[in-house]
Amino acid sequence: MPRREKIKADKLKVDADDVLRYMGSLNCGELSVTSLAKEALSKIYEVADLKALREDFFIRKEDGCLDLGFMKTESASLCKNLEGCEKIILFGATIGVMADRMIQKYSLISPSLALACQASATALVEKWCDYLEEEWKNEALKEGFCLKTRFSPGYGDFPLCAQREIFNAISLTKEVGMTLTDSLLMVPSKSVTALIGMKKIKE
Amino acid sequence: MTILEKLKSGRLYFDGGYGTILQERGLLPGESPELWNLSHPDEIVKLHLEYLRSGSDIITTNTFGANSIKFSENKGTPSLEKIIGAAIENAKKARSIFGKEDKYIALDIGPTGKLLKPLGELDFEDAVKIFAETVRLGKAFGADLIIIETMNDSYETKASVLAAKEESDLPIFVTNAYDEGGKLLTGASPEAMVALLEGMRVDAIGLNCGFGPDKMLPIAERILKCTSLPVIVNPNAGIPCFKNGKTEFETDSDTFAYFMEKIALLGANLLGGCCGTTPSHIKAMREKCEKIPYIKPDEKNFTLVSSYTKAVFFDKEPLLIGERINPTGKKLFKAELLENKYDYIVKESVSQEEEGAHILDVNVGLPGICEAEVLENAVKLIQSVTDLPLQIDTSSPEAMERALRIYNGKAMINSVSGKKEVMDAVFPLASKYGGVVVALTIDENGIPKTAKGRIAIAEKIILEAQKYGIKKKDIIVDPLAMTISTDKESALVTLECIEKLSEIGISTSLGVSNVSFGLPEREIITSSFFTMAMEKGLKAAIMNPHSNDMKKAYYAYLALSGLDDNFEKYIAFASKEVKKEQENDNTDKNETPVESLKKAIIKGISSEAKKYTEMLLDKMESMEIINEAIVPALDEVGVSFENKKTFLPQLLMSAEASKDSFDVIKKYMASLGKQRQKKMKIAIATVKGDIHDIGKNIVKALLENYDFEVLDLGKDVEPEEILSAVKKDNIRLLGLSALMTTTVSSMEETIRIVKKEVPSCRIMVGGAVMTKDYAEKIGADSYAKDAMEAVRYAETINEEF
Repeated sequence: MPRREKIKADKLKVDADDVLRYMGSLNCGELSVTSLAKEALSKIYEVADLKALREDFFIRKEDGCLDLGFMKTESASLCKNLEGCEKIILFGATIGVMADRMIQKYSLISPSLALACQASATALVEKWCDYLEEEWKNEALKEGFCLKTRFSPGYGDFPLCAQREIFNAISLTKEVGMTLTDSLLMVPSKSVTALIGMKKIKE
Repeated sequence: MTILEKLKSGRLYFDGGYGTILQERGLLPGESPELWNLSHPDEIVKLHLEYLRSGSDIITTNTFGANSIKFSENKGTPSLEKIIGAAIENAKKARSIFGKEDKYIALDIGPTGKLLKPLGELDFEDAVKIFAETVRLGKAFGADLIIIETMNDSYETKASVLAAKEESDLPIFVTNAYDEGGKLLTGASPEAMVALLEGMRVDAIGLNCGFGPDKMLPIAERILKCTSLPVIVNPNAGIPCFKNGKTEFETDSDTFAYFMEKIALLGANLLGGCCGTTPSHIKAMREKCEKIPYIKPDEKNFTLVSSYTKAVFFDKEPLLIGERINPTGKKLFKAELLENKYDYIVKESVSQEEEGAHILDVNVGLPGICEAEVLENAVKLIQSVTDLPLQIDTSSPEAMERALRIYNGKAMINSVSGKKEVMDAVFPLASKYGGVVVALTIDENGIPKTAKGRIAIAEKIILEAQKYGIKKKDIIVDPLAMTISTDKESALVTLECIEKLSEIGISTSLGVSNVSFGLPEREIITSSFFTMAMEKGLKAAIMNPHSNDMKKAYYAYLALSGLDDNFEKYIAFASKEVKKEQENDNTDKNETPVESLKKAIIKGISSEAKKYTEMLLDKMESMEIINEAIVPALDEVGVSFENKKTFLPQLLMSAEASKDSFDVIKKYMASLGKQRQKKMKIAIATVKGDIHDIGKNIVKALLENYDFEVLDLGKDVEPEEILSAVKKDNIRLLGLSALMTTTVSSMEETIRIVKKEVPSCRIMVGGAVMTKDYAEKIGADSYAKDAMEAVRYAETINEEF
């Protein structure tokens, strides 16, 4: 059964430097760019609605193919990532669709602010995923598991079309408002789906 | 007895969760519950029956996800017809076993699972069609009512209600899924949903899913406060929590019933459950709530309009309706409309909101354009950049209908008059789509000279509106301000009208600026008249939010009339005023204005760029300013960007500052009746399947800075649409953007068909997944790794021609 996660955005701290990095202008040293980044970040914070949904699956290797519990894959890079794992966490996390609206709005009025909003939103969803991973890592440790790094469709040879299987497997649309377009884009665009291997720690 | 008749005299009870129970009974993860109507009909009948026996008056069909996106024979699933037919059959069977006929079958309609444009990919009218198919089948198979539920977007809710109204005459019940803060996923407040849904005349509204009854209580209270309709509350059995390695719902049936009793006491008349609730929850709830006397919903007298996110009330505090989106007297805006451009509209929408407008009037009437099409486009665009409700302002019924249909909320309708022909055309639209109608006190005999005559017309209009079921509260009377320059008594007549109409409980709105027509320094007269009108009870003024005199009058009035707690509004306004004055005085005395303008553009400071351009226009020719300041500044930034010394945000900020500078010049030239020669026209688009266009918009901004005319075809554009634009506008350079590997194929297809039919058209491509090699492979003429490269390529093509 899936479980929901939710947090107020202001519990997560994104630095202006994180935003500048995604804007491709870290160290540009211009005050006006830094204040642009800060302005955008506060706008994104205002509208962000952080939600996530997680469900765990047991996985199994069967001749050359990996059964993830909700789909089968032959992806070599994923197999390598999940080496030695018996379970995975499958999750979707998002900062909500209002951030998209804000980016769209400013892309019509001020492309520079749109760029900065885009970067702020990316930084925030990354931060959200990092936070979840950290929480889950601590929880898993108590149960005797360590966590691998998160792995998303499109990484290595794990195909993007796995998104369809993920959206079928857990009710991301109903529970957290994430949707998938026919061309495999996620809306809200600042969303992440990924799986995280859980490996038993040897006694 | 129909359900609506029954609802007039007593509370009714819905059933509880289905999906969660079916999972316990063997529904597999990922399996559609709707399929069980065919594969496990006995289980479905059994569950319906359990609910009937627990006291449900209404059972919802197992059709939450039954729509044509998910089910059709060519997708290898059973047809939608079979699913819905079986679902209703199962419900009927349960009812007949139960043996009482006064139980009702609600066709259950959930969201499509897709987000609507412009945020997502689903077109509004396509959404209407999808819902229409479900409704048509539900009606044909004999549902007693329609329950549209778990809707988390106001726009999709509107699409579903429109479909339900157009395809059936069944009662329509609607519940939305709010978050704990009382907002839908796309931002709508409960009050905004009340405005939208009452306007569309559904039969009951409320909320469901998300969380338990305790947390629903405050939201239910907000809905009950402003709606006159019966209210539905269908909560979950609390929030699912993770216990002992499995997920459970936290609220047991007694706790559930305890809170549902409180909700019943508030006056909600349709109670039931959603995820995690079971027949025992329903049974416990009904037992508790039965004892509470029925509370009849009372008629609320609020006048309210809404945007996609918020409701605006006509109350003591007068509202400002921004008048700037209207081509009358605006040469630049007219020119843009003729070229099918919307930059002015976007800019004015945002700036009027920033200046404190509460509602925006939208008028695009101009000879030589297709008003209906332009108005629809304008409304779509404006509602994507502002949170304010709109006042649709057109005399064309066709344009009015198209705009109201796609408007995401309850609009103001500007306007009807006492002329029969006008009322016959406009009132049916207000009654179908909802809206607050502005009524002008003019009829076949013209504008009465006396207040008595104008009030008589207002009363006639209100009476006629009642024939269409439009309530008095949804009519705002505009008693018409006439200029005092031709009749010195005219302002007094208008003021008398406002006073008398207020006394009999009719709200008024006024286009105030007419009063000073023909006089010098008009704003002095207009703003004082505005104060006098507010004093008489004016509820809204159509005015220019940029006018300082008007704002002074407005904020002073609020402060003096006890309408501004702690003088927050006045102080916010006054401190803005001081800031403006300070900003105006930081000129560097050692620089020439040309140098200052260049510096402002390089630094990307729009306000300065505008200021120095205005200063320079007093002493230099427009072309001189462009050639000596703007172009050199842009070149400097462009080269610095290419040498990686300047970063993209700075390049864009400079582009924005220079655009503002250009705008000042354009406006000046337009006032002289001149136009600047532009470089060639370039079409740009984000290809089919790709709904992100920030990259494309950046390229557009830069191309325009370099004086190219840009035809922006938008995002998610069909190859054929791009081709036809290329042909129609004789485009020589086309720019395409794609973000994902999955959308590159539509880019390739677009290139193929454009090259086949218009081989001379050059195509440049860009986007996150593009590379030079890839671009060549799919037949593009050029790859631009960033916006500057796109500009440079465009310049070489421009030279060639």
